[in-house]
Amino acid sequence: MEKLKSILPLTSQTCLAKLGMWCSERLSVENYFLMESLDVLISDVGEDYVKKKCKETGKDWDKTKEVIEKMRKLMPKVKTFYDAISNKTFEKKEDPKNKLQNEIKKYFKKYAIKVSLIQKDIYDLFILLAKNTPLGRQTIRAESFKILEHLTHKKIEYGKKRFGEEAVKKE
Amino acid sequence: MRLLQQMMEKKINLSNEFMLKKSYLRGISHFYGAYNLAVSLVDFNEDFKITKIRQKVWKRFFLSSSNKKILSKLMDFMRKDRKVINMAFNQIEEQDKDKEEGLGDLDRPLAIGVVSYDFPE
Repeated sequence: MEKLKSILPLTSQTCLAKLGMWCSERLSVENYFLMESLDVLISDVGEDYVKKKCKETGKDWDKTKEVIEKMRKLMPKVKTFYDAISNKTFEKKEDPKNKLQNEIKKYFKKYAIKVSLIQKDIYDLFILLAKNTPLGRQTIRAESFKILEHLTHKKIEYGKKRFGEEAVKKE
Repeated sequence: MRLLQQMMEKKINLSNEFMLKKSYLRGISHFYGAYNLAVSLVDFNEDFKITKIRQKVWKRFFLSSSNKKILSKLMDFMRKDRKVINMAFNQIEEQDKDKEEGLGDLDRPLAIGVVSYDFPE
């Protein structure tokens, strides 16, 4: 049996939490979390180890690295515009009253479309690392799935009354 | 490979749920999350032409999610791609079976008496 490369418990915890988010997110945003977990894993395992493993399995590390670099530039843009969208259903037609939201959606679509639906190089690397580390044998906690599932669809309502507002009125 | 199985199952379940609720954009997106994992796990070499056409159709659907013609095209792709996901699940199951055999038979009839061990007085 092949020996697994050990990783820090904190690394595996962080990766599992991010992978839980990968499961909950969609529309290219999930790749953002996969990239983050890959970054954490590579920094723990070391780039030389990844390079060596890629060589063993006949994969081109330089090509994968190029793809990762491209995605690193693109994904934060997708994520920032996605986070700013208040209605994430995408089913309804554009609201003519809310011009800012329409613009944000437009920019989100512009960048999200650039992310390919099939990302073989990145997923190959992830599976390679999952197979060669104890991470592949672990499971994601139920709480990690819930974080985004419960928050993203709901509109966050801030308190109507501001702190100290009543005191100012009384004066 | 428990992690990969869990991730794929979660994505497929979410995809089915969203498809039932008729939010197809999310459903398809979740489905292709699982497909990405399956392709890498099985090491499936997809035809470049198919990838290109699927990407084009996806792009069009992403921009106009209410178009039913494009949706039916994407559904066709999904029907074919489901095979790869099934292949990945089968592969994981087979790998797990091999590991179980390596551990041996845990509930052998002769091994039952071992539990009731009498301590010497």
